[in-house]
Amino acid sequence: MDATVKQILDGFRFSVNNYTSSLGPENVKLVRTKELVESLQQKAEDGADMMAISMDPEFSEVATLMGELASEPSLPPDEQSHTDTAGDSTRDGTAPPASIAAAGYHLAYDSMDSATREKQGRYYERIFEIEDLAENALHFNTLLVEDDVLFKMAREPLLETAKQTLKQAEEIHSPTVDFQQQLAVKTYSEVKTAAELEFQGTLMAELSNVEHEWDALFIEVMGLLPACAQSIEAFGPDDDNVAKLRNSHRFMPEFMGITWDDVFADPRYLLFWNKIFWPKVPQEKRDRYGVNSAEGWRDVLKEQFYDPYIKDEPVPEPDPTKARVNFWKKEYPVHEALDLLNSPPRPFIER
Amino acid sequence: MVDTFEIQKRYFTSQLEQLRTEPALNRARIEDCEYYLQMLEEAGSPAEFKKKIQQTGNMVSTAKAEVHDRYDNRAFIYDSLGQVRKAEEDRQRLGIIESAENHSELSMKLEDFEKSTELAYNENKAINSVNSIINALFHLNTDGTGSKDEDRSLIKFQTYWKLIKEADPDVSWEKIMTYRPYRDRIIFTDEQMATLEKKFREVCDGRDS
Repeated sequence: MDATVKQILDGFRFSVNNYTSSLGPENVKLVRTKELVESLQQKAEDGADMMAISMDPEFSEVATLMGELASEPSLPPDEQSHTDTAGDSTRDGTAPPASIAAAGYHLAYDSMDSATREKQGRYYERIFEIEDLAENALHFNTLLVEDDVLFKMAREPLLETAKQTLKQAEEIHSPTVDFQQQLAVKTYSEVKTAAELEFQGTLMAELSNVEHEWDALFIEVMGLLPACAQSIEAFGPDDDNVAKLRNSHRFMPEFMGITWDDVFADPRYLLFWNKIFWPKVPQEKRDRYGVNSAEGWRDVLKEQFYDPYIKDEPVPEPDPTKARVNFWKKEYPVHEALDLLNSPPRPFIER
Repeated sequence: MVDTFEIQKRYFTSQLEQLRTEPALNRARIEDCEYYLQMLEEAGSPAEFKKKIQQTGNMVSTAKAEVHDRYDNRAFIYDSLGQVRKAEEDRQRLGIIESAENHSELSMKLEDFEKSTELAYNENKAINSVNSIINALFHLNTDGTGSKDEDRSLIKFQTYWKLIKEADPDVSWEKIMTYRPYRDRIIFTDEQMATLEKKFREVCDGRDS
């Protein structure tokens, strides 16, 4: 008989025997479960493999009944002691074999594709080593608790994903993604328990979501003036985009103390401009305007698509008292944004 | 040949030792583990212990303790971040866990709850709408009057304002300013927000203030 099928059917039989003592041998659902397990046993002996057994309607009926048996009312304690059956190997508290406790791991291992097995297989192989060492299911569970294999099995994929994301993030030049993934690698490397892994994972994700959105809005706001010039360059001047540029030229200094020069002195915006925006400017445009650098593109926009439309406007003055942002409940100078995102002053949350 | 009674003791002791490395995150599990360790000591033999386990619900308390700690820890995080509805949803889960009397009831009740609850979904939906609203208000301050830009910004504002109202019927400008999950995402200082508020009152015509 297929080894995995045998382990699963042994597990079913063990549970049925257990319920026999607590529910009594006459329990209707228990009787039905026994019949089904015996029928599946016969099919397995006749050559049915794991796939055939798991697709058999009797298999799903057993699984449903097992769930229902868990909520069946137990017999009163004094009646339970008289209902142990001769076949109940657990009536004296003797533990079942380790193979029953390990059956689920075998099932998972056997059904893995080769890529998953390459990543996860080593943990299962360690579990099977423990199974070989264990004298029974209780011993197996104890050795599993004392070994760190299950914790590693939960932690390593998270660690690996964080490292991969960090590597992929090199191309997107996002301070929030970099910070989050570096922190994830550090935190996941240091945690010692599954509960801590879960707690820190949830907390980091929530904090990081705030910072991603904050950063996106920052780029949008800081980029308003160049975006206005870019619109005129792309679509030609019309009433709408010229009005937008002139209004923005007046609004940004009043609202945030920011002028064109401040935008291009801001480290966070420059990171975006140099690494994300400029590389996407098409070659045809670079050739047309004869520019080959991010600075050159900035100057073309300023000289040809910004200044000509604000000639009659007063020259705005930067105002550092207004050039401030709110971040994690405190105000900071706008130009500290990149430093803040690289090392965010997150609220300290510890349990 | 291992001594089953000693192995059972070792199982709970080892588990307890690990749980106590992070006691604040494992409160229910620690209590549960201590309970079974004491039960084992009192039982004095594997057979007696097994009988007691069967009489006390086949260790449903352990399954309950595991999920209790998970949602209790998560509620703590959401409370700390001011995400009231997500915290409330997890507290409702804790109530359900508390009320379950056996394993299948525990899983069925939690499963039913997942299908019916919308608190966390709506919290996220509202949170994810906030910066689009602020973005639209920011642009409305610079869009030309009657321009296509203004039309687009207005549509954006109305779309996201509708979404946030669906998810959080109590939302108002005052709530955006004070509810931390909303305010933390917004880059603007209170003074800058006062400028955006004027635009907000204009486009909402005072109805949602």
